[in-house]
Amino acid sequence: MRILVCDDEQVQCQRTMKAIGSRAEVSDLAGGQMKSALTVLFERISKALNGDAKSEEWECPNEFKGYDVAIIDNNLTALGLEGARLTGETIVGYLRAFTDIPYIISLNKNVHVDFDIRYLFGDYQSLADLALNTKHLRNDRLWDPEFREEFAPWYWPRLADAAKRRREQVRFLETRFDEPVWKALGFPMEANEYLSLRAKSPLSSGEREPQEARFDVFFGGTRTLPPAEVKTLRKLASDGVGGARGAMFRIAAYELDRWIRRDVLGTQDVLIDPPHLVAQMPFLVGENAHDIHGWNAIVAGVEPNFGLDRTLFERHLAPARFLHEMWVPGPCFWWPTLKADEDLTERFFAADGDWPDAVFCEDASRFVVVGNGGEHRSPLEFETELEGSWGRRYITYVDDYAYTPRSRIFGKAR
Amino acid sequence: MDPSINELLLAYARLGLDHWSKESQRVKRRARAIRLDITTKIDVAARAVTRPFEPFAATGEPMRLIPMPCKQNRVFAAFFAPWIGRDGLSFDLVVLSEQGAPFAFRFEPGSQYATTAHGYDHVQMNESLGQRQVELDGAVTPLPTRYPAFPIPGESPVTRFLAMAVSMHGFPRGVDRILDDAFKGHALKRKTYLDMTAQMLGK
Repeated sequence: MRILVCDDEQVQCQRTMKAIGSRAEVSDLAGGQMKSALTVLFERISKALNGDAKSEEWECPNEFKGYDVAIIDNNLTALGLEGARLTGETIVGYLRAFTDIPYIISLNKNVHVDFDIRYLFGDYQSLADLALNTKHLRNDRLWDPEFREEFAPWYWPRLADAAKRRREQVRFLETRFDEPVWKALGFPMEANEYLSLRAKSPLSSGEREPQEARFDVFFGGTRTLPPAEVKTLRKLASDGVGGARGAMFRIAAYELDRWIRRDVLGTQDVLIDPPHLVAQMPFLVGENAHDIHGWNAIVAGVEPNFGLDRTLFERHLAPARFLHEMWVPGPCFWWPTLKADEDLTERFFAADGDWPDAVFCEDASRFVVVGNGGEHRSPLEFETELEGSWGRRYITYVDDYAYTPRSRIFGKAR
Repeated sequence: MDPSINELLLAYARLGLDHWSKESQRVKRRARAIRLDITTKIDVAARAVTRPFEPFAATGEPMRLIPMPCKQNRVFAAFFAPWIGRDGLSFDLVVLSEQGAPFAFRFEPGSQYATTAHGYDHVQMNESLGQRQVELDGAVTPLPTRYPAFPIPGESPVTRFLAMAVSMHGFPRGVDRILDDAFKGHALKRKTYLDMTAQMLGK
């Protein structure tokens, strides 16, 4: 994996690279070099949006070419570019639209937040794909599927996968952009009752039914570029300018990914991932359902049947599996379909209930036993702002990490 | 896992408050018209649950009604209030129809006193709340409030509450779904109360 670290200060840039270490092939773009690269980029953008760019001028500038991930320090005020003082957030949209770097991380935007209690998302105000602080880059949760970290937010991606998935997302949109989102992603009809009002909002244009909304709504509704520039890009794309079409697909992919992460999968009401599924239906673990290690094996499961009981998986889960996996960080299932499965309901009724009294902890990516009987402290319950039936979740509350807002954690609201 | 009435009431109250917060102004106006003291905040509901109204105590919390996550045929809204009587924890249930009078029921423990024939957990009609301390504006009066006194299976605050919940939500495809939402992600808790409900109903 190739990573580009962008910073206005060389020293800070080195710190970031050191935090990543040998986990990836890292290059830096710092200080004056970054200033020059941005100057070239902005000149190209101006020409492109004025309709004066030749096709080669739509191509990604060399300084940004060939990377999987860009890490942009949020404080860029020392760059000395004229005009308004620059932050990472102000350039993220342009990097997305006018370079081919698939995955963009905003660094140190809010150094006082390590874990997002609100939406289990990271910094929901960031225009980047993910907002991290420098110390997070040392955490193996971002790099290694077999991480051992205590602090390991479930909402963090594995970065190599995230970049690969984004490229696949863009390819998906290149061929299916004009199809209804609902049909192209395979939403079951029952999902309409399970999507929150918030989740339905980008699909509700007022012109057609949500089920008929096309992917264009995610491009049109983007906040990453000013509306006038979005309008220009759309016009150029419809005129057949390849560079503009590429920008449109990249922006739409980012917005759709964000929507799915927070409003479709994040609520676990429409799509559900294996650990949350087991938290609802432990009998799916099969003969290991009585053992918390059996539950935790699900978290690391990468191949079907993901540590779940083979027969139950094939009979009930495989038919409900979400097929377009480039849009989700791991295997997922349509919850409305599983919820309507009378046999699964019957199995919950009939189960002997010889299960650990455990809950899935969102900050540790593992199940932890409730109570004080084990080696760990009892998990704490908190209330997210997610709109859905599963607003309350659990954390282990790892020392020396900032969980915000604290007021939403029961027992930590002081 | 041991069942806990406070935990169950709080989890249920949270669903009720969420339901009420999304309720239409038309329903809320109807509730205001009969001057119900309805809790809208979880900390107040938590107090009503952990320190229930005690009609015979000199001081204490006032009786407050907690919304139920419930809308059934001809039931406009429903509320409940836990309170402690001579024989233990009772639940008042208030059902609001769209036009008519509010209906109240009491889910009460069996009396420990030999002088009464109500020596079993039961539910009876009510024309006021608590031990007649809280008036219910617009209630039909007089009502036969001592009989009928329908028996409730079980003899614990948890089964008494579950009986009330089943009476409003049904079973299956009723209380089981409520428990699913109330204890989302905590399978053993959900299973514990589900099994108690099934056992209570002989299922």
